[in-house]
Amino acid sequence: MLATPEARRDATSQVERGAGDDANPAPGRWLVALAGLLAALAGTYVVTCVIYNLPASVSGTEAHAASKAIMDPYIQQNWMLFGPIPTESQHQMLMQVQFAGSGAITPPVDIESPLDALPSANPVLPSKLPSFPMALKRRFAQYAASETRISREPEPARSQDAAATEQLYRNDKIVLQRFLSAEAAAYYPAQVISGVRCSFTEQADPPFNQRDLPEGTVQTRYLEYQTPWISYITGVGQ
Amino acid sequence: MTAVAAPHRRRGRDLVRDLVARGALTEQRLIGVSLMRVIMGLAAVWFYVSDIGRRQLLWGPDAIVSQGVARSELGRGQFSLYLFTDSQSWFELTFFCGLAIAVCITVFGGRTLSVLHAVFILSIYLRNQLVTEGGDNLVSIVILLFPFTLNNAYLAVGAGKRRERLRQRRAVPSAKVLIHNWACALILFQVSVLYVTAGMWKLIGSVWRDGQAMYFISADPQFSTTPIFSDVMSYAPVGWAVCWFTIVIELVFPLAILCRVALVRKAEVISLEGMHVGIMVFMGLVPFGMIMIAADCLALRDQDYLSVWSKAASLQGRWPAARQLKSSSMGADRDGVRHRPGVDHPRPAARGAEHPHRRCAHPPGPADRPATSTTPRPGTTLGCVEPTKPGNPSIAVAALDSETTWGLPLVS
Repeated sequence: MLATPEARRDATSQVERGAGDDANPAPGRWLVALAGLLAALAGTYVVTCVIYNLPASVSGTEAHAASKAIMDPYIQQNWMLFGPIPTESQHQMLMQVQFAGSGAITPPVDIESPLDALPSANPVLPSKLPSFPMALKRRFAQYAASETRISREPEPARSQDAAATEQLYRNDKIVLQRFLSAEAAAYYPAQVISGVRCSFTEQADPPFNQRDLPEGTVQTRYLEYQTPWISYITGVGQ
Repeated sequence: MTAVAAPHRRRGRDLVRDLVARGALTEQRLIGVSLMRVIMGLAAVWFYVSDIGRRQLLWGPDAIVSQGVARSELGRGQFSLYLFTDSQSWFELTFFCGLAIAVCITVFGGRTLSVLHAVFILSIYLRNQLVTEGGDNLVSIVILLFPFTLNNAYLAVGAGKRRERLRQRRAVPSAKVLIHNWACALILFQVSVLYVTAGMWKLIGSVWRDGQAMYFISADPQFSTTPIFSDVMSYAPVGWAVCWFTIVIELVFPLAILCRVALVRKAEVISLEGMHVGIMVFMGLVPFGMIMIAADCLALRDQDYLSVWSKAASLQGRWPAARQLKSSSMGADRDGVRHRPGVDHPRPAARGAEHPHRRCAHPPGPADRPATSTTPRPGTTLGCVEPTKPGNPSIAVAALDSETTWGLPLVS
């Protein structure tokens, strides 16, 4: 039985491996095939993920686009949030409300600070509401920059770019309208509201080398962007 | 030519089979993945509960982000249960089902619940993408791999019986084990990508390199729970140290978790946990911190957890666990073989057990490997180490998987 060299080698290798072979049999073919399939899937995932996370200038534009097409629907990765470049200024949202009938307009109200204070007021159950002003400020800062850039363009390009920008920020405008409507209803529950408007302001933080100066000596607040009057929507969030 | 190539082919085939057997014989990181499940489940419960009174505003049929906007933000192939209809009853049903499933996965775990939890948590994320953050991004990826893992072998109802069943069937390589190990490896890879990318982003930001980033972050009232935080970060050496500590521990994460030295792995994870606890306490990002701590849990191996646990138990002599550990045979079999805790099942003494002076219970062969090895090779007795020394707490981990207290194994 052990006459052939191959059989002898097999027997020797069995002895070398020890006595546990009966307890731990070698994996079957189907398991090896499954392992191969899993390795191929994992390899594809790893390569795609690495290409996705590398800068397009390194991985190549086409490879980057292909990896985005594969991963974006369910495995989208935005790890820039984990390495944030902190802003060196504070942005603020101020709301004005116009009442129906009299047409009276309220003075600007800081709607953001109370929302920002919610998680600190209840750290056990921190609200996610501050995410709204944070996201809207970021988007409308970009929108304001786009508008400024477009306003300096010559006419044919200006109209095209303006239309594209409007399309790009259409959802943000809807969200802002609904957010302001919900806030206005909360601030003025007994009033009949006709319109709302938002002003985005910016105030620079003191530079690092002036951090020990008394507060209020270096900061100036200026208007970044102001929306037109937007119609009020009833019943948001109710 | 064929005669020469045949042994090579056979050797290659043996190598492949050996590798597959290693991956398919024993589930790795069972404690890590169980901890991950519990903490991520708690974070999900927190996600639901923290705004339960404002759920209409955030996810309801008439929420700030309207259903039309939410639908248009969905990517190819994405869906949300919340967007099936604008019925108020459907919204309430979906929301509270999601909450119940989040509670259930925290308590019970398991593959079916993982699938359900994935559907519900992704649905609520996609219903309103404005209120999600980086931690939720990680969850939405990890949750897709989670159903492939055996995530309820610890810290779950019935975990002790489940481990008993695992021990009984462990002699044979199986597809379930292979898939579990594969999913764990991919989750770890994903977490590594996250940390390295985050570290690189920080490294290319001049405010991080200059050590001013923490100053500007602490100046934002939204990310500062106490004025002490901004005061401390205004002190340049502290701000600089925190910035560079963060960059370094993020960049070395993949190397640290692959390191064979347990101390390096533990030090890396403790550093990361310290950072995330700091984020939770001083920046108020509690759910984010929890999710990141959950992700870090997988970086440690089962042996790491059990050695820490046994060391802690032995330090606290008044704990019943420690007394039991000390009075027991410190987890080794009569033949002095230390089985890998929570992983290997005791095996009968093999050949050579009658030679007590030998380090191994069976005749040492080329396939023997130290007990620190994480994967057994088929056909070998699992992990041969020094014979038991009474009172040595490091050996006490061996018998830890017989019974459970708090879901973590203790000697009965």
